Amino acid sequence: MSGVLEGLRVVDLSTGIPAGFAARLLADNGADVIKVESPSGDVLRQDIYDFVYCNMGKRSVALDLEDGDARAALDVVLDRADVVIESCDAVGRERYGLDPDRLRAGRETLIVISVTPFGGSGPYRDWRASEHVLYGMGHEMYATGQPDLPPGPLAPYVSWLTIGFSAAVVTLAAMYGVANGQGGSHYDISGFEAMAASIDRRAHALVAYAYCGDPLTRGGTPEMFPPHANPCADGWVSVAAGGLWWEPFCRVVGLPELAEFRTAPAVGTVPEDVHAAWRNWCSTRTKREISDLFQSAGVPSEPMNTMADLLRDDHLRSRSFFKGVDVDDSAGMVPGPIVRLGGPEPDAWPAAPRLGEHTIEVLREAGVDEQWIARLTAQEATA
Amino acid sequence: MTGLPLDGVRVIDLGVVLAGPYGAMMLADLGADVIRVENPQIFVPMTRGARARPSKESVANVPSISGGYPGRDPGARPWNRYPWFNLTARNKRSMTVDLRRSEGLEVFGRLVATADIVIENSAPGVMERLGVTWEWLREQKPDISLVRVSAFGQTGPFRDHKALGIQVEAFGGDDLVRTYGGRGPDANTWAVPADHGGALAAAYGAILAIHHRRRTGEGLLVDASLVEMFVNLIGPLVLRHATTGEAIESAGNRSRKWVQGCYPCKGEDRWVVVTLSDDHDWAALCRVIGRPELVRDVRFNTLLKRRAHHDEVDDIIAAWTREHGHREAAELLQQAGVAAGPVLDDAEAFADPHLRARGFFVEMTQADAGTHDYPGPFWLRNGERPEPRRPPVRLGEHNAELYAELGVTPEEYARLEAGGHISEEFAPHIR
Repeated sequence: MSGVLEGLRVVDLSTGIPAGFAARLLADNGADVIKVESPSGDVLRQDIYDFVYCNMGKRSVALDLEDGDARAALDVVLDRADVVIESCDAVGRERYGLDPDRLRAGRETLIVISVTPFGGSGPYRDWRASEHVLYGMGHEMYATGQPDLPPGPLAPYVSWLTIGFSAAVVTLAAMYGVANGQGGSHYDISGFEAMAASIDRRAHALVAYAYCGDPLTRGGTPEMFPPHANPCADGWVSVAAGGLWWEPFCRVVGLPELAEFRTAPAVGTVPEDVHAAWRNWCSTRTKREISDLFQSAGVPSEPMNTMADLLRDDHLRSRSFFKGVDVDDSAGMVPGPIVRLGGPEPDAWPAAPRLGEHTIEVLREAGVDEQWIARLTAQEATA
Repeated sequence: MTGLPLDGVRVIDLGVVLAGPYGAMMLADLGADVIRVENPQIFVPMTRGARARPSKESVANVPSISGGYPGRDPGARPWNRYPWFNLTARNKRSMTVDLRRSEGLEVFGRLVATADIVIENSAPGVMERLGVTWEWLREQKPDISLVRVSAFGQTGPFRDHKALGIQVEAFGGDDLVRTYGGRGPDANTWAVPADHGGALAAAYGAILAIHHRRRTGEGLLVDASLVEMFVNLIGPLVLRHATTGEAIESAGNRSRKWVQGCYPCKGEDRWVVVTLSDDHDWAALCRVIGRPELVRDVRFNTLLKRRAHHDEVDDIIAAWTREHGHREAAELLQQAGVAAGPVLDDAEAFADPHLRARGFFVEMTQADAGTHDYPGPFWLRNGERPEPRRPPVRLGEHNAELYAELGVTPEEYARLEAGGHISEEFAPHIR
């Protein structure tokens, strides 16, 4: 948590994970982020963990944007906003009057950030996407995994949240420009493009393809011994022993079977008895013991941590990384700041808002009068 | 004047390998004046190449991602032709100086005095050994910010651990939540999602730092730990586990909530991802595949039942996708409102009509690498993708102009050039 963006107002009209996370990263830094939901609530509320994670520290205003009176009240709230984050498709923009040009009309310094699966133009503009669809299309799914298996998965959430993180970076820059006297603008962020720009292999693979015409394939990048994932006494451990690390790696392991290799060999060229000796060596040691042995010889090695391992890890604890958070009155834990800015950090993160928790307070602050608020309440255009 | 939001912000890019340089380029794309400071006496592997001067034969069979020079030819100046580097190098300027020697550090100090942000992602301790500490930087420029990206952060017992991207992934919990369903992490290959997150973290920390300076007049020391950043990117899994104690198992290409899979298509090694979130999606799919009778089939008529019979659902979908190309299958399903997408290889993504229609790829001509299309900025501003202002920067390309900007006299310049600080080549002893 920081106060870097204190005093700045963000209206989050989005639904879903990427744009919601982008807005949350602004709340993390002290911006006043007002989440506008329909009176039935953001569909993300169906999964409390997803909802809390993407909405901690925001205020919630429930407005039925199909109702003209409520839509007009939103305009009053938008008049005070520095940033609008939205994720509408073309149909929703039309229905709710949320077209970026319409939002920016008469609001000269307003920044509008659209975060959608495919962006606001192009042949796939109206396509629907899940996280996995964008991963498969934009990212390096094709070359992930084994050649005799289908393309392999990336971790859930990583693609969605990376897209949101990307949008937050652009938003922060746009806010800096306006703070320095520039006019407002609209940024169109497509999840497909945020994936295709990823240096988790895809973006530089595209440059290499442009340079020499070879696409990546599954199995096309031979792995050096030892493999990246090795079973051991209590789970799995990763070790990298290429280049200058081969000699200290062999010294730590001390297996005579490795002596014939002067550099790290390709996994596929290593005889089965060597694999067996290595597996046997690992099987008598824990992932932490193995990592410690290699690290003390300067060789990269880390345990493959489970969620439970992460929560009790000494290093992360020493940096007070995990923070408490309320999840529907249960005690949860979330990862702390995505980067550390050096200021004091609270032990707990603010909770996500209840649906409509701040409707009246936010409408009042914006100058919507009491009669109007009463009318909206009577029409059930709020919650 | 770039007219872009970070116009007038000066960034010194001391980044190595990918995350630091790519994060700095995000700032350059957004309008910052980014200056790479590089040492012609030291070659940092995997930044401007695996080696400075590889032979043509030695790169002939290296996978393209780590050896794919234009035409598979390292050329006369391989360091200006390396795909990893050139991806991260547009809109920047480059000057060379050897920071290990006092006269080099003195010149660097003059550059720092003109800058707003320094970005570095070397192992903790490298900057300290050069004398480029936070304290020293602030002596040159009291309101400077320093963004440091490292595997474990700048404090804590594992600060000095040696780690590549795959160790960050292992430690951060990635490997165990992205296995193929029912298999160990050894069945999937490595990935490095934290590298990309690290680039974003560098850019994010840098922009927050200048916002902070605007408010307070002071710079910030930003500590970005790749492990911590990555755990944020799987945060909902951590929250679920911490709240419920539930063990988090990988669902493979399936979803934890819906019906989803990666299905084989007509053609060699062609696949389509399909996600069915509700009854409406299921009904639409049944119609597209010509099996309307399945809509009311009691084995499949709720999401819960479809998930319980996931193998059978997969067989039904795959029987249809096998008869269609991956793009055709995705288009037919999308026309019916179902989330589906072809798994695109690099060649297909490079030629993709949607990416092309939106101008995602930008053509750049650089003297040593030639003319090629590169992935451009991932955003459109007011409907336009910004044109690149400069092609991928060559080593020391802006030495003359930058040294002049710093007030270095022609005599000093000649002396520094003779001393091996100023060059467009890595020193001859570097192979």
